[in-house]
Amino acid sequence: MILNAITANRLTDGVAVWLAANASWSERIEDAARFDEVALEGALTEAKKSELGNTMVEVRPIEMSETGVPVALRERLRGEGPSVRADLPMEPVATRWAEPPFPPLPSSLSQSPKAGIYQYDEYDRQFLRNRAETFREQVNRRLAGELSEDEFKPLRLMNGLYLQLHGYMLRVAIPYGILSSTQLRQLGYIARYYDRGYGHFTTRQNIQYNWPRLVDTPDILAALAEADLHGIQTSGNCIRNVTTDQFAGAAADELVDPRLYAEILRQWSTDHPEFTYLPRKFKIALTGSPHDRAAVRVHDIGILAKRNEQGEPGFQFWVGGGLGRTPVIGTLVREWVPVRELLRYSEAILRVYNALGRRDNIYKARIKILVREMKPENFIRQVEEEYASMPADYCVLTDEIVEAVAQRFVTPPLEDLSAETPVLDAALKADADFARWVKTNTQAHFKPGYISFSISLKPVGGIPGDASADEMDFMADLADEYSFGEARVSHEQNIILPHVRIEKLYEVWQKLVAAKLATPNIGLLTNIIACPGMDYCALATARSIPVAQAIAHKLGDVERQHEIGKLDLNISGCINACGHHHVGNIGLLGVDRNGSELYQLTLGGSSDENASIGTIVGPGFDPERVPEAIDTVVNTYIAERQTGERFIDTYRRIGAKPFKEALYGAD
Amino acid sequence: MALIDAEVRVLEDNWIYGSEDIAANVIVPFAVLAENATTPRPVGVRVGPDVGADKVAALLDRVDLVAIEFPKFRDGRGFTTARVLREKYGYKGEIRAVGHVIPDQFEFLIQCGFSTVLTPPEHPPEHFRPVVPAGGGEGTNKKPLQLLNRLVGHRGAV
Repeated sequence: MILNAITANRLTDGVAVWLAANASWSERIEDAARFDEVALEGALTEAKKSELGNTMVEVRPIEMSETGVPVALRERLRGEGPSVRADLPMEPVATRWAEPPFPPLPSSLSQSPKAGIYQYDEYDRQFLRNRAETFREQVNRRLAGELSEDEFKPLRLMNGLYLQLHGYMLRVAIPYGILSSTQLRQLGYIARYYDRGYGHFTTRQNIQYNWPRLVDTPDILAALAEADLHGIQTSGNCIRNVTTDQFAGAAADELVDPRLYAEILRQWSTDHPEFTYLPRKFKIALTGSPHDRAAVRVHDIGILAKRNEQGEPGFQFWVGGGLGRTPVIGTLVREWVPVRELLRYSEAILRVYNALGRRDNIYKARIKILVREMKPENFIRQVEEEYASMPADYCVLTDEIVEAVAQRFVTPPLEDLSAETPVLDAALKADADFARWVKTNTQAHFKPGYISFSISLKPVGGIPGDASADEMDFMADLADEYSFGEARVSHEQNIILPHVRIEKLYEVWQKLVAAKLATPNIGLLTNIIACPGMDYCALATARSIPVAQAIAHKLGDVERQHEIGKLDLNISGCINACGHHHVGNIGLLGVDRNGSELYQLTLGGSSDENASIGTIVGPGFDPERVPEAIDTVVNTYIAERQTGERFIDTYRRIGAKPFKEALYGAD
Repeated sequence: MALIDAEVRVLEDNWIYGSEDIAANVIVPFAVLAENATTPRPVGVRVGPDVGADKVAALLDRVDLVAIEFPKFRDGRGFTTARVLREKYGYKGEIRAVGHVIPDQFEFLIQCGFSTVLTPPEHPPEHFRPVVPAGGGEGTNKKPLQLLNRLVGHRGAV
């Protein structure tokens, strides 16, 4: 006999609750009353009155087994909490959040330099404060019942607030991945006082908090505004946070600094009156280096900034790339868009999409489907027509405007340093661990004597992309001391200090080692991109984090990883592909098969300038067999590789067959 | 249901909704109007979300009101329709939002060139706030804007 329980989330704090025997709501799944099919209907009708009364949201039945636990793994995780955080008990809820009074905001005490960060003026800041106050008013109208949940949902989403598996989740933008040390401390402060002591850096240069309360969210947004941060358009069917190369403005191989144009696109797209109710979400990525570190070809709009023969900057536009259930490499729609036309041409694309994108089926609503259904040549023609018919003075990005925005970026006071690096050279010779870290975790800087380095948030056994409030504070202190107060977040979920003196590298590395933040794995197998998966996400069909941890345990030996060399492994917990599995050299997609987790393996994906979508090699694997399968793939590569070949090179040369044979046996 | 303008003033409304007859003061569905070259005046056209501005443009010189329909507030095609009518086709007459819109969209509607909104039953005029002109320069009462939008100045009709 099928028995059901009834569950919901509390409107005010998002806490998961279950309907108990006395018709009250309990925070403990153990208290859940069970109903047979006959009793369920009446109980559900009664329970939904809590929805009408604005105390609960998402009231729904869940199937229960005879032993009194939910049939679905997702619902068990919802009752027990994330399987990867046994240290965070689900109860008691009463003491889950810190009690005010809280100390002053880090932004109010800051003396930090802010080089490299776009400097807000009081109007910019007032704009964010007003947005936070608008949201406060919307929350109040929701609590008062003036707005229905259906109407409130897009409004909270536009401020980054989701209702997730365990409760609310707040996504805060880190515009094009750049953070001042003060901002990083402010993020830590939010984690410490309004959440549960940590945050998760995502694949789209955002940070997610997993446990905020609805009633606190206006205060959180107000606190963020004081540090020029916000959750605007981190969700919803609008133009999302514009992402770029994490080494922008520092990399030696850069042609155009994309930060300026990313900031212009950010401001243009914020509260855009025409493009806030699009058919579906819309993601723009931008890079200014021929080495694409921003995965621009798998975005709704991907922009490659480059220079013409006169040395003027301009943009190559790609449209309709994307991952998700229909992975597509974007279409090149225009070879050259001059700077003054950047917004006009972008508007033309968005306008065609808003008018013609499908709204009858959310799975077919992204621009990639429109481009495919219209055929690229027709899509391009329509965009060009729209572009040509714009009034000549509309939204022109004049030199003066570009210069005014550029003025707001303070150039870091880099010194003219000697190219000689005796301290580094000696340390590299004396300390093999340091040498290994330098090899993987550093990136050449355009200025002699400086270097950028990555702090890996992927320690073996850790949760990819998670950082505690204390770690955020620590990294902010390092940024102040060594990188002019500037830090970056990469789409690979790591933190970067962009402008560090090479001669200080050994010193800062020793501090990282002491803080357990010196994992030398950037670009290597255990630098795994992973979405939160079913441990946190209501859409997930399987968990991602435990699989990443198991792989890292099996293949995490540092020497072995360095021997394997460059290899991207990406894991998504569902077809929506937040973990970018399609473009991992090795990709894993967690699916549900008859209630159990199963992982499909794809090979040959890549997100760089030679972007490609991986191919499924065969039947999926049970979770416990995944590490062994990855080991087999790696061993096959090592056996087959020629001198100097990366994994992806070998795969492209020999194809999937040898890997299939190694995994599944010869036919 | 009430008719409001950008300042949320409740206006007298003499238009007739929901009729397909060609008659004075009726807001006629686009398809019907497109097939009838001559009509009494004043006449309005009701534009569904899948009609698109380019088709409406051909009728602009023989209508006195363009009513753009929002089947549900999440369907944002009407924003583009209004904007294109204003900017590409230079339409200066009244554009009215009808159907399901929410108060939180009001500012965007006005910025995209809507003149009036027919408020839906669940959101009476008191749910709406007057749109404060944006611009945010020193010494003004305008709503603050971030730098780029102050400089580019493309935020529509107000």
